[in-house]
Amino acid sequence: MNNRAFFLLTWNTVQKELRSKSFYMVIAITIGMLVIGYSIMQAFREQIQVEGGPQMLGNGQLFWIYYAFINAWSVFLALLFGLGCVRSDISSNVIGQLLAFPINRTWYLISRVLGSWLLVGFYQLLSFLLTAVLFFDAIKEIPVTAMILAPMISLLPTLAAVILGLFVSLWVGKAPGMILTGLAAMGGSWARSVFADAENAFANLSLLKVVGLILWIVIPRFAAPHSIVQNFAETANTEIAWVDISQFGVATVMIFIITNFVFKRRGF
Amino acid sequence: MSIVQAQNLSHQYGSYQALDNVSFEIQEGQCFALLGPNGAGKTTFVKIMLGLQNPKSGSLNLFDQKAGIAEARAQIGYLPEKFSFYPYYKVKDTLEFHAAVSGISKSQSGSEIELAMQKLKITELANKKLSNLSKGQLQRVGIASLLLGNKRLLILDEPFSGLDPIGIKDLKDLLRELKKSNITLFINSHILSEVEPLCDHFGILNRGQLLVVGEKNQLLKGKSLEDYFSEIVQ
Repeated sequence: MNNRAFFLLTWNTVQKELRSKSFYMVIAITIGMLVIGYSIMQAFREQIQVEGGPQMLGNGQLFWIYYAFINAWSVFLALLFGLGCVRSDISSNVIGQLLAFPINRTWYLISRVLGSWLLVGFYQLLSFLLTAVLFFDAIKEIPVTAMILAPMISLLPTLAAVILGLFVSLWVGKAPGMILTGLAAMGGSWARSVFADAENAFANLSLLKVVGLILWIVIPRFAAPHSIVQNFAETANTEIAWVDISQFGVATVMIFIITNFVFKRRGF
Repeated sequence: MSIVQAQNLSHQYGSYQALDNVSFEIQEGQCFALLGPNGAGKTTFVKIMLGLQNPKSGSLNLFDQKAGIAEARAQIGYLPEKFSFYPYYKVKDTLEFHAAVSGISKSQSGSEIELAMQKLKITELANKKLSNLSKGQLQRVGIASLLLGNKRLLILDEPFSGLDPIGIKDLKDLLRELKKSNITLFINSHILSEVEPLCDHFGILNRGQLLVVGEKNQLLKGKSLEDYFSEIVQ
């Protein structure tokens, strides 16, 4: 496939999602929540200071809470786009026409993933900029490396989420896919809390534990890359979770390889 | 030169036999019609030609290459029964997209698009969105996209569907013109009256089995295609 075709397919992915109202809704909700949340926090803080109440969180700490919130929303948005980027071509019968062209199926998938990822990246950048404006005073307290790394590292979990959404969309539609990936992500998070510090994860196996172990091994640990930012931010003595980061990378690549394998053999 | 070579091609959907041991060849420059009632397996055959389905057994070669590989698809133009594309694309953007993914350079595509739009009488629709076009106009856009690039084989799945009488006449004229330039035409249809004057070879599929295949005049022996078809299928 030539570069122009790849660029057009990638841009076409962005166009498709820009036409969906959900993207604008999520942006509006994010801006609303960030601004309203900030205003409430400031008002609450002033009230407590007047009455001599306990010390509230500093702006620096609040900044990182906002960072976590943006990342959680971004993963949700990335899953949503991942679920729709190929599925919409299938449901509108355009896929047959597209794949009849000399387009390599792997490059087609990559263009869909890249387009969705670019859009989520734009959303993240916009949210971080807004957060930076709101917490302008606190930025001085935050190490420069952490500030630079934060938006860049955040792009990794969203890429994994787009790929996971795409994988699920090969079997189910958008709504069941969202429920399924949501359950899997929650299950993965639960499994992580159970197995991360377990001395012997394989002891006393039950059905629930086996499901948890599978999720722990298979679902990319979306939060793992953020340990790098936390380490540089010095908000807590956080070690970089290299094992979890490796699992995140390997699981993401494996999901893409399986998705590509299935997609290349799928009849349309 | 053999453009299409099907050998013992079979395909099933679950227990349903869509194609059963189908074998035939299409030579360069022929206009071949694959005829059959609904559910005969015509669309499955087209999907295998385009690489959208892998056959369960047998083989299908296009231009002496395995059907479905990118090199083979680069030489094919495909018009589905209902041409559909992103409804928010303008006609010109749609054709530009088709030109780009067909591997036509940007410098070359502009003039080719203009010419294709003129031939299909859709120049005045260039800046209209696909969502604002009628079924017939949309089909014309699909046909225009076939004219982009140097295609050696055009696959038309029910090409007359959705076209008004003028559209049908224009398409027939265009296909005759393409035939003269030695482009191989593969028409998948059940509208026999429209196909008969165009094709020089045909095959009849029924329930996945190829009942007859060959040169039109040799098979018909003076009968109309409609009479011959009902005789064979019943």
